[in-house]
Amino acid sequence: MPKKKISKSASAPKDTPPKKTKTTVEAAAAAGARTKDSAAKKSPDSQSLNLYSSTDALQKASLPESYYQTYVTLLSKEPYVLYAYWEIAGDDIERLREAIGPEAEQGVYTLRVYDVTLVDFDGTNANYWFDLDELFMNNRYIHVGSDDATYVCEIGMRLPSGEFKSLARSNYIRAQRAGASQRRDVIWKEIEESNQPQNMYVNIRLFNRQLRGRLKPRSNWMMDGSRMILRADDIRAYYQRRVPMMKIFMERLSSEEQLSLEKLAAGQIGFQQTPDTGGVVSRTSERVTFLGATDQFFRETDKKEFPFELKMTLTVTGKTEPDADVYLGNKKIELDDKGEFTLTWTLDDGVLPMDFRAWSPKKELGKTIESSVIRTPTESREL
Amino acid sequence: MRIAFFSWESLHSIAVGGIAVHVSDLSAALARKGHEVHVFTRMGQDQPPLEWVDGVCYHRCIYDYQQHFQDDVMNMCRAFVDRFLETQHQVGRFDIIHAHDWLTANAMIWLKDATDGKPIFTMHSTEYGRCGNNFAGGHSEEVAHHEWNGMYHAHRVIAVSHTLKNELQWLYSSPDDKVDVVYNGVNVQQFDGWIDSLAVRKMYEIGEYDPLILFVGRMVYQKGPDILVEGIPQILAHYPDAKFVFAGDGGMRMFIEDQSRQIGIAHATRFLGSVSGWRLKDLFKTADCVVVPSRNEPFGIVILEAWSAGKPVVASDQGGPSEIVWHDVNGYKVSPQPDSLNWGLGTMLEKREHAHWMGRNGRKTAETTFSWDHIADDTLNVYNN
Repeated sequence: MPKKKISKSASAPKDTPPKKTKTTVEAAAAAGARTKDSAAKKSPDSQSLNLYSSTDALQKASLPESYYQTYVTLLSKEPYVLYAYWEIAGDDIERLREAIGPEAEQGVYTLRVYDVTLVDFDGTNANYWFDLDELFMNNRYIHVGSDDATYVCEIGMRLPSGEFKSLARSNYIRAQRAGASQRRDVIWKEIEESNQPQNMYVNIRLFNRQLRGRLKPRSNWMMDGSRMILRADDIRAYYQRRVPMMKIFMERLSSEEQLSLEKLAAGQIGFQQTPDTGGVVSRTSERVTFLGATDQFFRETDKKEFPFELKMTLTVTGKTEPDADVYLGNKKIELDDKGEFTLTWTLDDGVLPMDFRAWSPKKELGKTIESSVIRTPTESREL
Repeated sequence: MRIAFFSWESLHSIAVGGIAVHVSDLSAALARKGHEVHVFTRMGQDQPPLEWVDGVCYHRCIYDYQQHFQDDVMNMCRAFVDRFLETQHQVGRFDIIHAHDWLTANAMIWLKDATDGKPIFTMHSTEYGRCGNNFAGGHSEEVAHHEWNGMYHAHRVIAVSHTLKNELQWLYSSPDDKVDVVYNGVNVQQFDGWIDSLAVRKMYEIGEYDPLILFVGRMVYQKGPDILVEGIPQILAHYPDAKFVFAGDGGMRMFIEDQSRQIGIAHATRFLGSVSGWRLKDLFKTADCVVVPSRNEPFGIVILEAWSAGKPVVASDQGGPSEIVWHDVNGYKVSPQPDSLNWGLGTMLEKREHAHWMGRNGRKTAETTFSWDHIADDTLNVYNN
């Protein structure tokens, strides 16, 4: 046997003439090897010519006997009966034999069936397995002991030492259930609370994508973020085409917001989306300023800057026994030698829960202190 | 204001199609607003010649039946004119002479010379559109001429959608400022009330939690039921329980049923044939969304009905629906192709909360914009122009 590595695609012509049916896998393997030799001599062109010039309609219509691949497929037929079909390419057998060495002569080709119900199968942890040695054909039915179980099988060679060399693993299947379901209770549909607002609204982004970043959320009672809530008159106006939606939208804005929109329309300030951050940068100023994705970070570059910022920090201190265990939520807090601790946060808008638990060193005594810190939404405006 | 309506059909005489609903509901809404409305129409069997219904005076006119349809229509117009002049003699002069569709156009034209009422002409569709966007000869040519003549003589012309307005402008060369758009309306209140959705679903063998997608319309090529059927397998791949209910009859029905069997989705479809009245309203209220895959749609009243029942729509971006559906606010606009339609339906089924919200928006839209009271306001604006 010439010892050369041939890739599967090169050594597996799809259209060799059909061979006689082999009775054992060994014979099939030998045939596979022969085919490979003969295929190597013929050019692929002449092969394809052979197929298409054949006048035997039946031969054309029939499926090829072999695909020159190594695979095994498992199907569920009945609750206790599975069906498997497989094929082993000659190359793979050769390669396996080379890898094993002389011991391969005594090996047995085997289909190994695993029961892997409720197991994350890694090749070794099956619930149980059994071997089927008589692989006369390229398919067979498999009788299994339990229904409603998950099965997978492998095809390969079992050596006299008991070692199993796998060639291919099948798909996972679930055998059918032999009887009615064990579960008898009524399954109710879960109905979720509606998150959709009751109002009819349109998304302002539909009018102008760039406007979105300019709007203060909830600055207007008719606004809800990027949504403009529609009144009956608006709906009528939309359908009568008397007033464009944009105009209605402008009327809803405060005078300050209108002003900046007019500026935007006049080209005095311009914006473009930054693809990487999703934010908005100013186009007209010489230096490109990042204005942020929302108006929270928005600063108009044309205006003089007057820095005025406010930051709040929250400091929490506590004291207990030096060896005690203190938790904030699920997180353990380090104590110093005196049993004291100090925690510092940047205080943002919103609620900050403060749920402390402390246990004495031997877990005999425990105490919990629960509180929370709320910072109301910060509002800043120009005077 | 004293208003005269001319229509060959109404809900309280002979009802044939959509004009009947329009005329009866609009006249009742105008009467509610304190105007005196007289409807001149044909007489059905065993109906009195004069009757007050919903504050509207219905004059049912008798005339000799003629073999030829055009002659018959002209005779009808003569009868209308005769009754109109008689009425005017009794109640006083009319401010508005409002004709609906070409059938009554001649009555309006003749009365324009005889009285000082303002002639108004409403176009519900064009002969070109009724022929499937084709110029047909013979009878259709005559009809088209009547349409042009009515539009020429009218003081103002009302079109039921901007699409129709555009069509009128290029067909009959009418000036842009002569044609106003007043949409069709819907009687929102008739969809009020609760129903047992489960019972309705049981009636059509549909599971309690199955997504129910409703198609209402004639089964013709124009309405595109085949587009919907073609896309169903894709939806079933993600929502295997989805059920598609087709309410409506037409020449394409057998073909559509065959198509669904061939694709192998017959289990997910229900073909109910022609459905009307409370059965249809129950279906609207039970459905999860209403689909309008039309290839060509002059207005799409089915959308208003779906909204009245609080259901979102997935409508093709053609003609009327492209004007009245507000994308992502009270429905989805899609192209009349299976993939696009499936996007709309799939999104609708996936974002259930959003779909409910859009349904509620639809109801609000119908209440605020498409209720007959508002349509009457718009019509009055046209009268006062």
